[in-house]
Amino acid sequence: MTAPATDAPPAATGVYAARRAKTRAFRPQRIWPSLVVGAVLAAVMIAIAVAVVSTLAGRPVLALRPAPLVGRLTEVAWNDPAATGAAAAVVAAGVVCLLLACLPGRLRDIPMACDDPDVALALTRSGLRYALAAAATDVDGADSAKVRVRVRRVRVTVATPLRAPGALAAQVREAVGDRLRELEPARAPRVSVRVRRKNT
Amino acid sequence: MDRHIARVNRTHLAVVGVLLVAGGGLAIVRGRGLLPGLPADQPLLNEAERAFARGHDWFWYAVAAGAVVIALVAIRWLLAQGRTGTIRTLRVDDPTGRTRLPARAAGRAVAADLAALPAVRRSTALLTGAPSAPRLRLHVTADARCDWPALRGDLTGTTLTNLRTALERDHIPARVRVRLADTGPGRDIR
Repeated sequence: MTAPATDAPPAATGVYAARRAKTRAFRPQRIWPSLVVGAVLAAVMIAIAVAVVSTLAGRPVLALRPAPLVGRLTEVAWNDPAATGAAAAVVAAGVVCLLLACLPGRLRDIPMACDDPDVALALTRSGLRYALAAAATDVDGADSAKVRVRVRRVRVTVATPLRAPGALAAQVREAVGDRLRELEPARAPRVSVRVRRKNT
Repeated sequence: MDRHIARVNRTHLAVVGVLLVAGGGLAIVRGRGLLPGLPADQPLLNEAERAFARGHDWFWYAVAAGAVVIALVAIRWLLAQGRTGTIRTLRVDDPTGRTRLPARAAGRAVAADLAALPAVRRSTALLTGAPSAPRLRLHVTADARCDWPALRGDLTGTTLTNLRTALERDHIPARVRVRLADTGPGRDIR
């Protein structure tokens, strides 16, 4: 992105671009992968520096003596399976790093529509689940509800003591749909409802 | 800046990834004997290379210096993870001069504004960015059965307008996360 870093840049760039920029504010920041890769990198480089400097100073740190490693490096040929395997592992680690850098990552929160171009608004997943479960259980006959929320899909499972649930699924779908229309996610998800007989 | 650290992390991860893929890839190509003049059955470290390292002291100094530089970059990258990006002061420019305000006071004012709303149960407001270009990071806990359009209107309208007026700015980018919590009586909601 060449534009200045903003959590929610003005909508002048178009509706979809604006929505993407707002959504980006809720993407993961890759803190954990960075901590792991950064720590490994720092540890390896510090070990190399300590080994080289201590050897140059004439007092090698014994745990970091390079001799065994150098001995092994002089014995193993480039076309040795061990060398090829190690190289393949390095390539794999690199591909993982590149994927972590390039893939957008799973949204932790569900972006909500908001007219203000300066505001990026989102509900937490658990928050949206609660709100939709509350809407579902407000329907008569729906005792409890379990909701799974994804950006493009919402699955509601309600438990009912009724022997003949009849139109319950449709009623729950309508109640959840009404609440969703009110909450107005930036992308409207599809709603599916399942009704389960409660064993009492 | 909320996305600053994400960009730093993506760049560093990409550079590390490219270097690892390139290094490992070259080693595999070399092992297949595809590099002209470099037979595949040579040892990883041959006698000529060892003699070169033995004969040139600067080589080892260069290795040590390179390792130290990369280690410092990695440590700076690690330390960047701990920063929240919050700012301490805000700069308000008005015709009579410049005023500095504590950012925390502005954050508390926003939180107090929000606490007055019936649906809001808890909120934290942080100011991030730069003293001359602040951004707002808001975390709100509200009632799961709240009137959302009204709450959204209050959040983006009243609250942010108050902050914009107080700081004399037309735009304050805001990132708002709302957690809806269940407060319904006696319902079984999982």
